[in-house]
Amino acid sequence: MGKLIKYEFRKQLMSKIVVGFIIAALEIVFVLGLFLEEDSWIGVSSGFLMLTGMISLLFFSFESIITYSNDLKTKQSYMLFLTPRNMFQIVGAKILTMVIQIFLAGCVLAAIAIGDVFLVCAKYGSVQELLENLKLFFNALTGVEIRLIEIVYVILMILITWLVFVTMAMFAITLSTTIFANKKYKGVISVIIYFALDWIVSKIAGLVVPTGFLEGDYLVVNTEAWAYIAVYAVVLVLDFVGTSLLLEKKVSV
Amino acid sequence: MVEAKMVGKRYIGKQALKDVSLTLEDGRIYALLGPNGSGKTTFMKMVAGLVKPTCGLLYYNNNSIGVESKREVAYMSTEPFFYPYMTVRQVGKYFEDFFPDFSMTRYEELIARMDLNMTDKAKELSSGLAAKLKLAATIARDAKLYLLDEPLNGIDIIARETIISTIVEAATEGKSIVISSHLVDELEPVVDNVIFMKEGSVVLSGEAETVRSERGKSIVDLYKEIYAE
Repeated sequence: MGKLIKYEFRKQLMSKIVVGFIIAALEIVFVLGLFLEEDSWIGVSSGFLMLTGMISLLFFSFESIITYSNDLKTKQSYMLFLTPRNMFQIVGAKILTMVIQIFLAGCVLAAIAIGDVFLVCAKYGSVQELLENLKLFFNALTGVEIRLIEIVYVILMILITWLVFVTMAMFAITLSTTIFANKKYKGVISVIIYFALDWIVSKIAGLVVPTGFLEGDYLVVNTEAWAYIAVYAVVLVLDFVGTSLLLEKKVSV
Repeated sequence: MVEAKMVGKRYIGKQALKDVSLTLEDGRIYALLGPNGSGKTTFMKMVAGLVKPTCGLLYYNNNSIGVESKREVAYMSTEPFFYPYMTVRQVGKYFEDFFPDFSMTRYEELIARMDLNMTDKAKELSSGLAAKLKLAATIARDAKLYLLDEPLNGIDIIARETIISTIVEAATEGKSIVISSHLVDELEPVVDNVIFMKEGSVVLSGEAETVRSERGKSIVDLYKEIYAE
């Protein structure tokens, strides 16, 4: 599976290089602004750094979906489907590649953000003071107290709901090229199926946590909250197995 | 080696293959003949594991087509299919990574023989050079069965001889080759068996020599007779 992952990365490398260059350029402006004490440079570059980070994470997700679609709908599908690998390995490699690249991109962006925060502190004040201010700012904004467990939970929840979003899109694309391959409006049908599945999953997740995650001013990570994640984990497994089985039994490229 | 029993494939509004039953044996060179749309490519892609039959049974060495058969079957499609970023060297590396029977030494030798450079971008090659690259990557595998879909397409008349001799070289003991082509006259001298397909069905098949003697015609003349109707 390692080799499949290697080529999945290679197929999507160009966008990472472009994003890397943009972030490096913005970071240079930020650091120069800091040392030359040009506040407008710092403001504009940090704003664009955050924007680029968010957009690139979103773009990487869409790129994974588009790559999968190309792997099924263009002649480059032969490269993948001629290899002596079963469909669970092929789909698994794609999902793992997505997770690894989003994780790595997240780590790089977080490292840059932390580095920049330390640079600002080194220049203008203490880290502790800045973190306290950030916490106060967040609390004032949301009205919710933050604790470490909640941060971990929120990251996990974002990751798994994002993964389900991508794998469900993969499942819908697979439906359009397998079961509905001979139907006239296969694209429309699979989009409808995608939204229907998304609606069903969110309804089920909503039933698991009917009262929401807040208890007073606290975000509560209780059994229901973990059950919420478990629902998405089950959907993720179903997407993976369903996509792989459909490819194994039905795909014609 | 390959056994097809009443195999069919239907696409939107089109029956690509209809009740195809045939056997491919070890150590033979087959010519799969027929005009565009006769079902040659669909049949080859089925054996390669790229297309699933709508009906019928298809076996490779008595097993269903799948991971095991893909290890032993080398398919060359009629269209270029390499990833756009790939150079000729990276195409070889990809095949080396996934197919244990691929020989990089043989690939390098074929690339040199076909006037290609390892640093050339696959997507920027002319149609003739792209056809040679596909063939080199396929033939550099020590496969049991080669499926070559229109290997002479885009190849100029001078290079065709090199291509045909390269293909025949691959036909060592126990290996089979299926070649589809419109250029019947160039294939006739090298093939052992012929399969004529028309509108998704096999209309005539057998050993080339037997077919010639029974019908009293060359394969080229039979081709004209079958498809002129």
